[in-house]
Amino acid sequence: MSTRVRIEALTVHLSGTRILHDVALEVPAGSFVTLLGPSGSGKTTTLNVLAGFAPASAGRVLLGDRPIDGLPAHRRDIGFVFQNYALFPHLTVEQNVEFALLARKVPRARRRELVADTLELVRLPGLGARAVGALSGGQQQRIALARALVFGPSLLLLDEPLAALDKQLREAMQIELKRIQRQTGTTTIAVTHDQGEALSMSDQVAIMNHGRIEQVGTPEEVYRRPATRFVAEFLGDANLLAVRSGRVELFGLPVQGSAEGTTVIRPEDLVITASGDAVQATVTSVLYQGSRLRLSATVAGHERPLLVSAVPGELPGTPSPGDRVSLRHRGGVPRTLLEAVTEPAPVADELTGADARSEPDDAVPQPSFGAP
Amino acid sequence: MTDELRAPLRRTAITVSVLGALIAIFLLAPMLIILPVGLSANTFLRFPPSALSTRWFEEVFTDSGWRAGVAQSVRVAGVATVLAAVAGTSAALALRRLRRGRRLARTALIAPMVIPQLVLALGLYLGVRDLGGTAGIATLMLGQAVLATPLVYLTVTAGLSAVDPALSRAAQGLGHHWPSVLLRVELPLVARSIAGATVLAFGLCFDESVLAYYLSPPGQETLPTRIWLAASQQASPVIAAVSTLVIGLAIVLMGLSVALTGTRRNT
Repeated sequence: MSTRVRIEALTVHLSGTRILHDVALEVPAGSFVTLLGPSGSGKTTTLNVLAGFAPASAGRVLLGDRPIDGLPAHRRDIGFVFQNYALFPHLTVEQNVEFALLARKVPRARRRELVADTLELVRLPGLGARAVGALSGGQQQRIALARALVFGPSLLLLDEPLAALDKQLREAMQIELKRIQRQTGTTTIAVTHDQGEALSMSDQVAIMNHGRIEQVGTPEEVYRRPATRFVAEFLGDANLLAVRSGRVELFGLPVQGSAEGTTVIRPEDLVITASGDAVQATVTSVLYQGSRLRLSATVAGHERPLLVSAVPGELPGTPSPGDRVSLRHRGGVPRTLLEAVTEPAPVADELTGADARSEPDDAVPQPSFGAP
Repeated sequence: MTDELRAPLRRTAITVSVLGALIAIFLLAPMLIILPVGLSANTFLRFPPSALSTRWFEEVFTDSGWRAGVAQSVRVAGVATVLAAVAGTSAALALRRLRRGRRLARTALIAPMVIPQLVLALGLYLGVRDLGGTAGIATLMLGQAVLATPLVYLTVTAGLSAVDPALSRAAQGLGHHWPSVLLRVELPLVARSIAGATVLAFGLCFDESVLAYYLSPPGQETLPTRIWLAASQQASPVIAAVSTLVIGLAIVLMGLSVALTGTRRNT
């Protein structure tokens, strides 16, 4: 069921605190949009408002052309997958999946058909009679998905859908989730704090911070061309460099956008080169990660080290701490970051930012250059 | 763990066990005396009985007065239990949804447990009279329901605490209005707690004596009132026989309740 979703100026106050500020988002029919942000950024609140579990203070939500703000949760026609799945423990798999059909007075024969089709869709046919407690985490996830999709909802909401799974299963389920979403063509909004998940599954990613959306774009756009400093730092590792008179100060590289400010250069955009016409740096740490080699290198006159991510095979040898290396930019035009959309208290920002990065490559020190 | 540490622990364990056993004996001793007295062949209450017979138990089962008392107790406790089960379960489900004032409501609900029963009896008696009625069996049923409601409320609340609140939201999101959510999700998940609480409430009401004594009209006494009246007039072993039966019923109900509410909690 392809339905466009439009969120307009959504604001939520909860006991005196503003949790969402003027959130606007357009989700094209059939697309998969992820709300990504640290905990406390308002992404789960947005999802709860969409589902009708929490009231909005202002703003509108349109499902297709139909405003749904006034509707109670049970009349919204939205499928919801909970973080812990919330399967009904007293019902069998089949009874869980057909639950939504009972509210819609679907005749028995048709119910059986729909349940069987949906179990087929999530690749768990023949499990109907099982108790849900007897299922593995991954199976429960699929059943939760089947339960939310069986009635052909106009919109599917996923709250941290993969957070409860272990890492290996999580990767397999990302592919599965994407397949099921494509196959049904259901417009989907997911919430996650896991950037890898967001980038790999979504058509569009909306990055949220302090109750606002900082940037919306394709995964590549938000990663390669972050609009704000928060987005740059939240998605992966970032070298934040000063821009003066339209050029990146350190590399003399022309930029797009404002002539003065800060830009981001990703660690994989820095190349270790033999040529002398490059930035000279001293390696301070080396982390071998199998497919990548992560270096941290200091440049004379610059306080924060530069992060470099290289492919080990492309290097003449493995550098070690203390080595001098020449660094150049791989090419392309970086974009000057906009002034922060939000004006967060610096302490709170650091806390939520650190909290949200749970990626294993956190071992590399996170550079956070102050804008000069 | 070393032996020096183990020895004092063992000593503590022994002390606690001995104390526990003594307290249990102290609490259970009356029962150990009542049963043989009930089985006495004597005409008067006497311990130990000089000969054994089941004549007093037979009398309880054949005497119309005792039988009427049992019937009355079952009737009163039955109605009171149904009222308490509905009120207590409703309160438990409602308070879960309450955002504010939950604590206050909770305190009000369990107040009947601490208010002296005499006060409740007097209040009901005067209240009904002021409203222009006469306190009778209906008042007694209501009073016992008030006494049993906290019990049901607490038991069902304990059962509900093991139920994920997201389940209710999930059911709503899937298109079910609240009555349907209640019927299909919430009640089935706490069914065992409700059943256990109901059994316990019935036991409480069946034995209840203070309200019953003050509120039952003459000729309509419940079993505890009859025991009390019989004991104040004569010292027949039949009282011990009845008491044994009442205690036995209480033990059976307790066991049933524990079996229903304990273990196998599905979450």
